[in-house]
Amino acid sequence: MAVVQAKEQVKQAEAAQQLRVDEKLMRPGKYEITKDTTFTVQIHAREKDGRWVLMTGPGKGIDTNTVVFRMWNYNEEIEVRKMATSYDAGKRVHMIDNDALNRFKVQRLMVSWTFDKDNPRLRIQHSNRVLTDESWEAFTQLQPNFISFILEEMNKVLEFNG
Amino acid sequence: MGTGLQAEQIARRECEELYDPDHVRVKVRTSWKMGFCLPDEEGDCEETAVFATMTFGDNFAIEKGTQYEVELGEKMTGGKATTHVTDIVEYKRLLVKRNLLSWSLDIPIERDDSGWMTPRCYDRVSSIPAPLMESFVNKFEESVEVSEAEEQRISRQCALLFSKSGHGVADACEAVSLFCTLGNFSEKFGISRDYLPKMSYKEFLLLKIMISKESDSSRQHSSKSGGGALSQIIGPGGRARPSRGTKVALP
Repeated sequence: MAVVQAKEQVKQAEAAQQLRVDEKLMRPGKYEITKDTTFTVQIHAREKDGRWVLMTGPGKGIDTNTVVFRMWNYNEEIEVRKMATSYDAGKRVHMIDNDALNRFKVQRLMVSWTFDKDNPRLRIQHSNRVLTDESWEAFTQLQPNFISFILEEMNKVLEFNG
Repeated sequence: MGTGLQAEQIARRECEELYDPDHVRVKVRTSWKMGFCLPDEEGDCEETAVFATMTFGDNFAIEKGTQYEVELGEKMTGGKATTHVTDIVEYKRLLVKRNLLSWSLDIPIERDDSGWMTPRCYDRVSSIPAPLMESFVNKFEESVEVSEAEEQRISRQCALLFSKSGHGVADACEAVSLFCTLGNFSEKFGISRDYLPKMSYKEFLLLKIMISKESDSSRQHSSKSGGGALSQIIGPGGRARPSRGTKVALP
């Protein structure tokens, strides 16, 4: 029976690609994004006539909720933008669907929120580090002014450098 | 007009571009917010990245790699047709892999023998905050792009430069200046773009004056020979003189 063996050169190239043990144990550099690199969006709101009105800060009778997002790294940004970009053959330009872009950002970067503290139905769950469809559904169930505010604050950090 | 400090900064940048045309240095002001480094025009830190100058070859290779086929609608073409489009987002990723040489960040840049960033290195490089890398890439792209305003200026100046009665343009834009200076010096003296910045400035000025005089002289010659009246009057002895009228044979 013939024995198939990898060429020596290939083995050497593979070895070169493998990290040394000390490199594996090394902590990320100060500029590198990890899954713990997060930022928080705070939402202050007061109930008025059965609707929630956004407020500028905490206070008496004001509910405060938080949404935690992960900072995106360059690779993630490229992937997400690719998914939201299409080519318009008529106008001969690339078009970015901003609604889709925002959706992908929320689905991939939202870590947790406090809206589920009194309502387990709004619990956020992930599958392969992406929000599940049910969790995305829960996000879309928020009042539109909440959604707009969260997206705006999220984009302030992701797109407009904080 | 800028201050002395700004003037020096501009002069330094121009010198870098002239004497080191193979590299583009990009500087981004930053600040640390919420635990990560983000671009900030008023920030108190500065990060630097050095890119290899985008060459025709680099652009050709990256475009080839990122092209995909798009179907054009039947309304536009009257039938089924396709066109090739560059994936502009993927282009940016490959640009980093191909052209980013070094930077002030604490992530070492490693390249393989073919000049491309190694996959392991790219994994770390691409893990920096996206806005910071975007800033580096955008500033690098500014050094490559020709803006719409610049293109319009080139068109306006070329319309003057290449017109029949053209006598050159005042305040020539970079394209016209490059075209004329490099074209003339290369054609006449074989001086390439690499050597020109190192040339003695006095020699450059003297040669430029000579080129200008030669150009004036040849223009005058051409206006005397063929640039004047289209018709001629043939006088006694067969000698011609210019005329505004039609060609009439005199007795």
